[in-house]
This record gives sequence, structure tokens and C-alpha cells, in this order.
Amino acid sequence: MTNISLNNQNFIIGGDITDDQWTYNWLRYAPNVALAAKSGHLLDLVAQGYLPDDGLDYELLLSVWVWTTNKSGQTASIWIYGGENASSNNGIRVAIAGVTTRANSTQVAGQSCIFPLINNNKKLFIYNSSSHSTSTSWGVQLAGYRKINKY
Amino acid sequence: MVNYIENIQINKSPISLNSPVFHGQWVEKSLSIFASQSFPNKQNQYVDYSLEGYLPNDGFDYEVIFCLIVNTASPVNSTCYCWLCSGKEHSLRGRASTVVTRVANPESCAGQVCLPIKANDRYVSVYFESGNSNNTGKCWLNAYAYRRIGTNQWNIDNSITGLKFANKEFRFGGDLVDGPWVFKQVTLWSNVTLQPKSGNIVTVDLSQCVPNDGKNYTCLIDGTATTSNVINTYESIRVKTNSTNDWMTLMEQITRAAGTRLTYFNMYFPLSGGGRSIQLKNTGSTVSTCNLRFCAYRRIGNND
Repeated sequence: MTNISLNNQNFIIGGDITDDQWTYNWLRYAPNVALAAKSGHLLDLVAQGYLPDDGLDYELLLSVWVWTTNKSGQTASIWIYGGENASSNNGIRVAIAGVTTRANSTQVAGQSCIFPLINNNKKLFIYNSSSHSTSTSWGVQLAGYRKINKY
Repeated sequence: MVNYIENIQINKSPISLNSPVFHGQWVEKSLSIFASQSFPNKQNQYVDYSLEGYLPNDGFDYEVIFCLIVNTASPVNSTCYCWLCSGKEHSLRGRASTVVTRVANPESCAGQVCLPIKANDRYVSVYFESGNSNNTGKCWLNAYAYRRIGTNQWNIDNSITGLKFANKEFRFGGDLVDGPWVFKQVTLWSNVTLQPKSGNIVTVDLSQCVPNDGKNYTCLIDGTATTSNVINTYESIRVKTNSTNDWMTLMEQITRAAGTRLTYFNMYFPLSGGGRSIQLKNTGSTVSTCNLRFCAYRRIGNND
């Protein structure tokens, strides 16, 4: 049975009307450069070969970690944008990892997030919203993704 | 335009459309998986915990919202890099708590992770990327809510609970399936003070963020919390929705050296039963200054 006809209108069955199952796929991205104050770093998931360029929406299981410098009172404040940069007001932004250095020793923060990517955007902009630079040790770890239904 | 399908009959047998092809509704059910568990004394250790009895034994995959709280060991440079993993397979994981001891007293940290749990692997695993040599670090793990993951498969069987077709596109009418993600940035709080020991429980109105249509949603919120600068005090922010009596920990931190501390948190959570508010409190010993921001929502399909 490939179609049902009701009142002379055809309903075609199948396809991707519901969310997909989770795909487990690991990516560790750690560019080993400090994130300067009020600056960001672009991660293109299609260019990395992590997601296909298929025009569909996805959810990611995303983790971030960041180390501060050892200067007491300085902070690291990492936001993740879905998109090219931090200037879009229509995209998604999640504040994911923030921490303050005290006692003149480095400190670390790390959190995870279910992060949606829609409207054929498959880029993450990792932004340090602090007025201080991070250390060179920071990165993004992606554990998996799933395609969201064609609504 | 799409057409509502309320009933299809083939050869006079009804076909059910509210099948497990679709995701289920969120069920807010709390479970203390373990409390005051010691860290392993070696790095890169996995400790598996069964979710039998928490999730239905029905052969379906589920998403579960977890929270991990950790206290590091006392010695300086005691690390806590803890993750939560889906099942014994360990291959899908998210960071939960990440902090290091810098003054010779334990640090505290908490984080939420939402994970899929497979039908044939009903475990959550804590991955201790860093161990501690004297075994005095402790952690707590709780689950708060779960949701069936749809099979996305239509199978032919004798009871005609579904149909299998190939290479064809099916448009349902109405809201049977989950909606698309809607990104909506709304500042909910700026520099709100949460008094210690649950001194003030604050209700956050989300009706400006999510449609007031009586439907169920999944929401994503982020926030920041800053301690006072009083040494050896801590903050612990908890949240609950209006459809549960259980409080989920969003963040924890302790001030050990002079100066305020900042941390970030995010929350992926259900908004069910037409409710459009959440409540937050601080069970710590010092005031917490918080910012809260709404990020996005997604309607949950009406598949019941």
C-alpha cells in the first residue's frame, strides 16, 4: 500500500514526519588558541564533516569546557550562538560555561546542552562575552545529533 | 493546507494513528539514583547505574533529564571532570560538572544533562574523567523527567496499529507531531537576588515566551549566578515547574577565596498541562545574584 485516497485526495505515507533516532557521533574541537575578550570562533559542522548539508533541522548534544587564566578576578563567559556570528538577534544563543578565577589559580567550567540548529544553519559561533581572555584550553565536544522532523 | 485525519479504515479495520511512532509526553518523575557516592580513585572510570523501575519496561527508547551534583576533595588541585553517559555503551555523553579545588577546601558544582536511554541499555553511567586519590570527592545523581522517543517506523502487523510505506511523504493535520523549534530570546531576570535557605521563592512567568494555548512544550533557558564574596558560603539554585513538587538543582558553587564567583547554567525542561511558569529558590547559605534568559521552545505533539 503506497497511498490512501480519501475524498479523492491522496495522502502519501512514510518519510520523515517525526524526529529521528539519536545518532551517536563524537567530535572534539579544541583549536588551542585563547578566546580573546568579546571575541568568538566559528565552527562549521558541515565543513567538519559532522552534519550533512541537507537543509534539515537538527538537535545536538553539545558540551563546552573552558579554563581561565590564573589572574584572580578574571572570568570566562562562553556563549554558543547558532550561526555565523554574535550579531544576529533571530538565532539561538545559550550561555553555557562561566567561571571566575580566584586565589591566583586557574579555574575550569564545563556544561552540556541540547542545542537546536534550524533553518539550514549548521554553524556554531563560540563567543567569550567576558572582558577577559580565556586560556588556550577550551573547546566544544559533540556527542551526537538527531534530525528533527520535517514539520 | 493539510487535512485532519481522525480515522482511516481499510477493509473495515480501524488504523490507530496515536502509535509509538511518535514521541510521548513528558512525565515529570523524580528519582534519587545515588547520594553521596565517592569518586573512583583512578581517572577515566565509568560507573553504571540501572534505570529499571524508573523507565517503563516497554521496549522503547526514552529521553531523560538528569542532574549531577559534585563536591570535590579538599586537597588543592583536586579535579572533577564528570560526565553523564547514555547506557553502558558510554558513547553518547554530556558534561555535567567541571571544577577544580584551588583553596584547600571542597568545591561544589552541578549540571543538567538530557540523554536518550535505549530500550536495550537501561543504564545511565557517570564518567569520572578525573579521579581523586583520596576518595573524598562525593557526588549525587537525580533524574527528573522522561519522554518516550518515537520509533519513526510504521510497521505492518495483524492488529493494524500502523502502516508501512516507502519513499512517500505524509502530511498530518493538526498538532499530532512535535512542532519546530522557535527561537525567542527574552530576558526574564536581571540581577535578581535569591535569598539563602529558600528565603524567597520566585515565580517566573513564561507566558510572554510560550504561546498561551494550553499545549505542552519543551523549553530551553539559560542563566548566570554570582555568589557573595563571603568566604566558605555557597549557593545552590533549584527549579521546579508547575506540574511537579520536585525541585531540580540547576547550579552549585562555593566561595573559597576572597571575591565573588560566577557560574552559568542551562535548563531543558517540560512545560506541561497548560502551565506557563516556573519557580526558583536558593537553598545555599549566601545570597545569589541571578540573571535568567529564555532561549527557545518547541511544541510537543498531541499524540495521546
